[in-house]
Amino acid sequence: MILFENVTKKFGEVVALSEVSFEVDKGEFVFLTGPSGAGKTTIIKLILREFFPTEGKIEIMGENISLIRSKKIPQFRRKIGVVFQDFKLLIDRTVLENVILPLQIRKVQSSQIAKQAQEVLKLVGLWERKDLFPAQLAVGEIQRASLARAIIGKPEILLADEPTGNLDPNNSQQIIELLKKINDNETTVLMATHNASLVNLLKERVICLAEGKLISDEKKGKYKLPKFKFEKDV
Amino acid sequence: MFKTAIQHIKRSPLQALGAVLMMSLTFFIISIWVMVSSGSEAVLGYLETRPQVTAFLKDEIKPQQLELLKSKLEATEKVKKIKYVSKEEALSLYRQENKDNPLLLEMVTAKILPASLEVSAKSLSFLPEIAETLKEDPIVEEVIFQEGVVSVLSSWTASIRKAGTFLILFLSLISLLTVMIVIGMKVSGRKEEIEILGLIGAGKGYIRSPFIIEGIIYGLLSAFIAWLTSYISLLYATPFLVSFLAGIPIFPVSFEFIFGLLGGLMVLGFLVGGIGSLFAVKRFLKFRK
Repeated sequence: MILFENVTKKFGEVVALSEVSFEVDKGEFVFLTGPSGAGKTTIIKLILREFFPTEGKIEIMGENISLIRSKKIPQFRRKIGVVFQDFKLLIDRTVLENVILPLQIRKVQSSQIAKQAQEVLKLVGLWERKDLFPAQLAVGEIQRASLARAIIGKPEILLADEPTGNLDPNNSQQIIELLKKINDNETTVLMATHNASLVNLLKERVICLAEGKLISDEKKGKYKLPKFKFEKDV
Repeated sequence: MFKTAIQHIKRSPLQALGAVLMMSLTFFIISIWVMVSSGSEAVLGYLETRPQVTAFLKDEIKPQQLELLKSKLEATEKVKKIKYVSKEEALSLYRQENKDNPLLLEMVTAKILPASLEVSAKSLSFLPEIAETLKEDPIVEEVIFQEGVVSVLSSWTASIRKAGTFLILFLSLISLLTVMIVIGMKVSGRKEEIEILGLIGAGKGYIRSPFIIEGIIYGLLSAFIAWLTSYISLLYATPFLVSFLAGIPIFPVSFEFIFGLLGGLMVLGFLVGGIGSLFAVKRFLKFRK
């Protein structure tokens, strides 16, 4: 489903990822862990084809993303749901209007949109708040709205970039439970987080990164705090 | 898409108003130019159908002499129409023109008015030759022809047309730039929204459409406002123009012309609004890559 083969990504002289290789199968739930700047978000952006790898090969759902033509990028991205760390909801649209955007983009029929919106908003517990604007919601609710938008199109892959980064433990657990529920329906979930307690809670596969390098990849793993260069320096 | 475009307009009404007013002004000038140009054409067309050479004849000419002169003119194949106006007809015309002045009517009889020949040429360029032929004939007393008036009007119409083409291009360019600036500002203000839409799988068409529709709405609305104001101006100026163009029957202006002008302006508005916003959005999306 997701294949990284010796992937390196450089931004000028800065190396964001260095020869990273891993493979994620269909229906897997994988945590990407590591401290800030480890390369988690870079991996998510590479999967979304926001930019190209400097070296190496990335295959998503069997397609080499470097070979996907610009015109085909929208169709490619429609197969992937994303929960962004900063939510990326449109502030001048209601929860409902935000959540149904992926379906409107695909020109799905209105009746079908209404049905799926109700289903997904009930799943994330926001049906009663569907007509509110993001500014009128609590942070946990905004994150759940973002999650609802990511899953409404029934994506094959769900990417979650620090989805619990701004949440309290209770809200964080709710989000994790929702992600697990989505994963139970054969959706591949790749979640970037540095929250050790959440990683340890689910006992799923853990890919650990530090300074752009993959330092461990363990099935049913635990979050292991990597030794940072700056610690040595300090 | 249309709903989103309307939302864009509602969210920044002042920008929208500025764009519409600016475009309305340029379309209004274009509309007025079209009216002036068409009016000049109509006046020129009217004058071309009038007798352009009038030859006043000497008294007591013989019918054979008149027929001979007519044949001579027709033989040139440069004459469209010849009309003989007898002394009695001249008196009748004189009475008609001076019916409000009894003093002038009392003093004039058919005897003192000359008979005349009114000649229309097939082309304005034939006028001097026809006038010369008439002058050389012994039965002709005096020749008057309107070559000056018609040729001046003709050259004015040609100049208006040339200057107008340049004016239309220039004003359309101003409108195009206005749309580009306003839509460009809006695109720039919605950078984040465009980025988010791109990340969740929106294609270029989905992202661009509301902005292009917005530009088209500006264009169509401006065209309609320009048409309405120019039509009202025309109605307001009609009494003055009727007296200024004394006797030249170009009023009332036909509905075909008025609605044709509306159609033309709408097409121009659609194109300027659509192309301007397309350029603005394309430019931004290019920089986004």
